[in-house]
Amino acid sequence: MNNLIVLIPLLPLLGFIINGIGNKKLSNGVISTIASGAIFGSFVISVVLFFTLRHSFEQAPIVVHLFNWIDFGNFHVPMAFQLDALSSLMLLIITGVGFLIHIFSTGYMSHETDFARYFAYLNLFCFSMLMLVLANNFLVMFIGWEGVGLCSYLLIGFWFTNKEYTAAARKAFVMNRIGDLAFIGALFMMYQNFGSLEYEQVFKVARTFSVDSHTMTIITVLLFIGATGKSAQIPLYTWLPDAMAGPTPVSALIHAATMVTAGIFMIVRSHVLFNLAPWTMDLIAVVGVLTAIVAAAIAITQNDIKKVLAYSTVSQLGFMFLALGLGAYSAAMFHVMTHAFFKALLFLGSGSVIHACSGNQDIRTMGGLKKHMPITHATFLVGCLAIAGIPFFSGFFSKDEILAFAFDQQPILWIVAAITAGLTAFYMFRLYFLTFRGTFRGTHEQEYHLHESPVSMTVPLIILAILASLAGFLGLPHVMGHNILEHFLSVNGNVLNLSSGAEVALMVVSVSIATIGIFIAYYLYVKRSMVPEADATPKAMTYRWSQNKFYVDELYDYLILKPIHFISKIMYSGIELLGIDALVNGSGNMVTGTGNTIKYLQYGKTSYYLFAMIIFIVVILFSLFI
Amino acid sequence: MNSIILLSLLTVINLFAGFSKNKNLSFILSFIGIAASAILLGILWNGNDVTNILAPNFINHMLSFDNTTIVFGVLLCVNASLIVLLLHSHEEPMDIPAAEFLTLVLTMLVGALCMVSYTNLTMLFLGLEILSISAYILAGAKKRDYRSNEAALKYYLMGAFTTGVFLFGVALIYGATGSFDVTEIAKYAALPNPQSIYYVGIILLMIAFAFKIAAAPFHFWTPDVYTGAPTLVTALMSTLIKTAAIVAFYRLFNTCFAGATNWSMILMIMAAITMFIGNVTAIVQTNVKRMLAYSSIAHSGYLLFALFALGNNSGASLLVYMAGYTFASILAFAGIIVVQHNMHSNDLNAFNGLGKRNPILAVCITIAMLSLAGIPPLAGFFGKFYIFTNALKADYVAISLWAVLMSCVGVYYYLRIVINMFFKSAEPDAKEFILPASYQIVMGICLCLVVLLGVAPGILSGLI
Repeated sequence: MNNLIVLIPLLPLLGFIINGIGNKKLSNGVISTIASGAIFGSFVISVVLFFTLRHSFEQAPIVVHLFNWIDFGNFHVPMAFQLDALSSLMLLIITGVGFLIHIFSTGYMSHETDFARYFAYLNLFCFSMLMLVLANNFLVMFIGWEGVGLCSYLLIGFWFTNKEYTAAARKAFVMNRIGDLAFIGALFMMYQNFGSLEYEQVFKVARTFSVDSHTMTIITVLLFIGATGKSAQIPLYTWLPDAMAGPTPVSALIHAATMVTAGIFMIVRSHVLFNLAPWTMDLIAVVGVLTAIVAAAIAITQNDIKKVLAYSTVSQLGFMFLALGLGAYSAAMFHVMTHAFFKALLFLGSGSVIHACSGNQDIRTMGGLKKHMPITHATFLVGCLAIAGIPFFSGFFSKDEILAFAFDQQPILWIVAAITAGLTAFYMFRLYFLTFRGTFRGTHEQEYHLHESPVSMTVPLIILAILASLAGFLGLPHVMGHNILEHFLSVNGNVLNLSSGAEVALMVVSVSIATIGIFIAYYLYVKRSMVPEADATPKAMTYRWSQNKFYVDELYDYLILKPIHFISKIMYSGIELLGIDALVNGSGNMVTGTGNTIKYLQYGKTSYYLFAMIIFIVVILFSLFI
Repeated sequence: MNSIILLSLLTVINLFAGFSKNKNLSFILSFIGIAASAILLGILWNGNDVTNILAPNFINHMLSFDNTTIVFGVLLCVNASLIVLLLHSHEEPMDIPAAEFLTLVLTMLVGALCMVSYTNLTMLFLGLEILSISAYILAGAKKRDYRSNEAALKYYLMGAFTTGVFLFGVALIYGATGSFDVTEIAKYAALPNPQSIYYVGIILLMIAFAFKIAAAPFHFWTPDVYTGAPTLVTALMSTLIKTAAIVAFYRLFNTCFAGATNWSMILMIMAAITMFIGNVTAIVQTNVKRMLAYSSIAHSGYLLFALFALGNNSGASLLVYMAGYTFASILAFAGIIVVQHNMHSNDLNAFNGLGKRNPILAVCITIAMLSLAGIPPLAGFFGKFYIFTNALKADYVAISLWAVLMSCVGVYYYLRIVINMFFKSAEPDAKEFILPASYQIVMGICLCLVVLLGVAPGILSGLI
């Protein structure tokens, strides 16, 4: 029974291999059946395992040992999987949402010529992500960690003939690599200090370290930097908005629901280490809340439907890191889950809109889509309500839990987070009103083409909308009942010490903030039918700053890229051409020259060979007695 | 022991099977025989010889089947069966009937199994000769081909000379110790101040082994014989014979001569020269078969590391190295045979544009080359990694650096063929090669094993 775990990552890997090899030979129907079937199989196994094994998670995680991956000297790394509450929750999210997105893709990508390559990459991504969450040591996790980065790169640059898209892919890859470097550093430190990379052993030894020791702080900071790369936090967040160059279902799966939450998963997984490093925890909370508000401030002026959602993702990830920093691990995982549902829903909804508008992504030329696309409209509205934190939609519960933790521990963090929540409600409804309400602002030809998406696209939307509305009841606040998720995960973090009254008051405050945000959006974009002006028109400075993303890309360009280019030019003309090239070519010529000379030793005559052998035998024997 | 008996019987039966109208009969017999002997070896694991009517130490303790022997024995059986499969498709026509060829392969396997299981120098000599004489004949298997004849004769003349050296070494050791039994010799070696003829005996044995594994300066036969012999036989020589010889070498020095230290210096110098000559000469070769011959010499240099830096892990590292080398070599040689069959040439230029024409074949050859070059995560990398780490642990720093440097040189010529396949264009009228089914199977198996051993070398290194 337990060995079924192996099949969970194996099925998508098989799908990848079949679709990768049968690239040109298989028909679209076969390709999508294999790809979706593989991930559906993983989903079914995940569900079965979850329901049969969930009670045994409380005692000990289930470990399936496959083989000794690296076994040399003192360095042992097994290829082993670990199933516990945390990984089983992630499994359900990845395979469940992943399956829906595969289905959605069969409709969305149906006009694509490179159908097989797309699905092969998508399966490879699922495989890597499943390896990441199922690992029972940091090195196997690292396989998945690198794998998802690679797949993200491949899928962002899916339309590789477009230079801009490949540049975006490269940016994502490089940003991720910076984080990965820190992650590798953390692995080295762990092996040196704990003598192992297996979770159980690492945590056991780590518990013997004192709180706030230097080792622990360095390791956790390195891990956190790794997480900022993958989960798009300050200062490495700029790749995520650019990553929207990929197909929209990819944005939904990789850049909203799963891969970007890898950093949060990793920190929760190693929470034992983080509990011992309060300094790092404070750092995480501050970086998280700053990312949340900066990204939200950028999102309010963006006019590209996917860019708005991208910045909203960065902002929501900031919320999750805030929760991690506050030691509210289960709240963070709760938000990971609800966010996976409503953000996947919103991205797929935007995909449906883009599909209908024949590839147009600018919300200034949309509007009035409500009557053309009723299902997309209704589900998108559910997503907006969920992310804005309207009561009884999932986002309300998960965001409020984080806000409550913030209020409990550090009211300043709470104030910033609450403002961010207001901004979130505003920009999401700005997006909603501009897209679906009012009248259509595009050309007549575009209007003629408007249509509701096919069933393969609307069904995933409906399922996700149901999940986005109801998933919140898994994590009810203490005033309302029992927090099932917190009990299930039972991660050893901080506990909330708020009275019921305070909890209710906080809820009222955050709901009113959200409502104000929605109302302002309604007033501006419905009542006054305002449409954001063209890029060229002069605007107030603050607006300009927000629209140009606070010039962070330009700042990085100026501070990092320019100096690097300058240094590399000097290196090239000075050291590379004059020094290294000469050295390399010289040694190459020398070796070839030597080879050309000593090949004449191979004279071809047997008598000569025998003579040479006798000479050498004599020489060796003689040398023995010197 | 049972496996050796079975295979010996099979060689006789196989010759009669050659008279049968059914062309496949001798193939089926050989294949089943090799598989059965692998199983017979396998059940002796950890001394569990429940089905063996004879004791594991048979004929007056002349053979012994410990776990090291068994693992290498099974590797040899797998190696031989892959070659048998390759022979089946007649991609490379031989001038002798298949049944005869198979008989000689089985005989070689018998010799090889004796060489990995001996505990007595006479048994070692028998194994060595059974193996070698079959190899001399096989090298001339294309008897109407001038080069093949030349190869057989050269190999035979030089091999006979080496046999003399080997026997002289055995005689001297017998003179000093009064025994052929390795345990007796080991007892003598532990005594203080052994006679000098004993040392001369060791050196002569060492030279004979150096000849068999093609280590410099006793490698002269290798390029000529490897190039002239049929490619399938070359594959057999560079894998099966090398494995048997290095394991015999390792067994002898591990059990008997571990105490004597002055030979390790000679071996180290030999390794350094071998790596140098193998790698540097391979660079300027334009014939791929000849290039692989030099590459095979270079690999012998790396293998010698396991002998002079003898330690607890030497056996395991030798196993990982040999397994990776064997499967990558068979993969490479199978690719070469296909190209040779279609292009009638072994020249580097015959591989031009293969990446476009036969992408899967080209990828197979590329993987083989990368593994031979020692690029992770393929089997060849871990072989080198284990061997060099062992040497470094025993403080052989300079020679390890030299070996790494020589490996870098090696990358050049391994990648040259890859460059020809993927970056040079073929003549416009070139057609896609058709891979026979047996080639697809063998190359698929080798490819999987090379990748698997690279991903999880622990499954082998944990065995012994």
